[in-house]
Amino acid sequence: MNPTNPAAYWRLNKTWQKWLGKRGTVIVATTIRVPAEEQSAFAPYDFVLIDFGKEKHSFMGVGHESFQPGDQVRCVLRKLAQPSSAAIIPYGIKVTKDLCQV
Amino acid sequence: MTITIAGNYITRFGELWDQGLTDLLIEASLGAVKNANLESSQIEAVFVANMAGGNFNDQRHLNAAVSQVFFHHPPAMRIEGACASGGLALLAAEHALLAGQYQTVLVVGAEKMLDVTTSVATKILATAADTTEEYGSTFPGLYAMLARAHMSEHGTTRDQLSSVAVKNHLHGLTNPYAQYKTKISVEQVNQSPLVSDPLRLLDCSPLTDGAAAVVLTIKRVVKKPIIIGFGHGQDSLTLAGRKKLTTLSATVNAAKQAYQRSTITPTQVQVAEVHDCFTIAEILAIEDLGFFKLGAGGKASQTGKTTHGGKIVINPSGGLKASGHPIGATGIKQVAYLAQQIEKSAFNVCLAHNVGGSGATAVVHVLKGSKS
Repeated sequence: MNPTNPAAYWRLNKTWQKWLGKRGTVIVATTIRVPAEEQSAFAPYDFVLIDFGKEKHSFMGVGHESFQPGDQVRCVLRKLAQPSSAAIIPYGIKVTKDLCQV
Repeated sequence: MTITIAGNYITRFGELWDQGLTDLLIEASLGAVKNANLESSQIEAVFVANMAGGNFNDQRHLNAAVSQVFFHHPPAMRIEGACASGGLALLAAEHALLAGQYQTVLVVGAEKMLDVTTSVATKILATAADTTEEYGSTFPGLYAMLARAHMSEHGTTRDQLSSVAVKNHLHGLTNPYAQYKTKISVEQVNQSPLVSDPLRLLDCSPLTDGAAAVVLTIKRVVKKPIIIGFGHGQDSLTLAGRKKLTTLSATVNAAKQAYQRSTITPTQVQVAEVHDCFTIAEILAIEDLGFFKLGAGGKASQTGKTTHGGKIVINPSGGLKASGHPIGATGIKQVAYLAQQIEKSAFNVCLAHNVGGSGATAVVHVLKGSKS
């Protein structure tokens, strides 16, 4: 999936409603220090496997937040890749630490 | 019906500026045919393994690129299963032989990875994961998560991961094709730059240019290694879809089939080339293949049980770590290298283990020397 591709981006943003605001628990995480070129502006960033209860899913973590197993997280909308001047700005789902646990 | 490895060939592995992708495929193909003492016209079909020639080298249609080397243009197909492309091409060839479609075939694999920058290569390799569900991950990143899980569940340590790299570099010193013939220490691995925590640069197999080929036949050939078992396992492409992160069930299932077909047990295997794309991958492999109990792979590696004089010799070639990992070639190189060891009478019962991506695909082969 290339989120800077308009058609792929259109398919991707149809999933936002499912994930936005969803809360989960970190199963395992890593800090990616050598990313692909389109994520180079974000490095280092965490990549996180999350248990959302009925399903598991992996997402990038926001900014430079560091995640540990057991951390509570929620899904937010953030840039996924570095945009080029000619392309759309590729937003998508990332996770952030959930500081407002219910 | 017995499948014999009539010929084998491995090119140099490394940064091969003077050879393109098709050059490597041709060198390995013709080398294996010559090693088999066959005429090119005796090759009835060709199976080509390659992951990403279209991305790395702007070259697709590799089946035709290899077939055209032969005057009679044998039927050829390209097979892709990420890092398991080589193993899958071998399986496809074996199925065709056992089905009676052909009697003698060529299986060749290659990857030319060093004509692009590391960041471009990282992006290409990340396509071995689910590029939608695991967007933003990298190949080392996914194995880093497996390492974290193994460390958490089994207490596997940093030094145990490093001992895998140290041992494989030591083994690579004796492999004439190896990309790295450099001895390294646990301290050097521990202090190398972090790539994806906890994996460091020296935990990772390199980007490599290289090719390997074997000629397989069901005709009677004397004093050549035979394939006595093979297996193929699959699992979820995403880590999120896996039941466990501390074992690769694709490997477990592939091994089970291979052991059943060969009537060999793990204790009878003398040597194995396993898929150590990262140090944690070797630890997972030696547990999943039944050589060591679950959770015991790290300690076994650290205490010398996986080298000469230990319980079993793992990756005598240096593995992917030191010998190099030209993706499409790797699964075939493992079998070709083991065939050479059998021909030299260094070992008699050998196992090859080839994994695609973060463990979604696994292929296992068991080889044995032929007395007659």
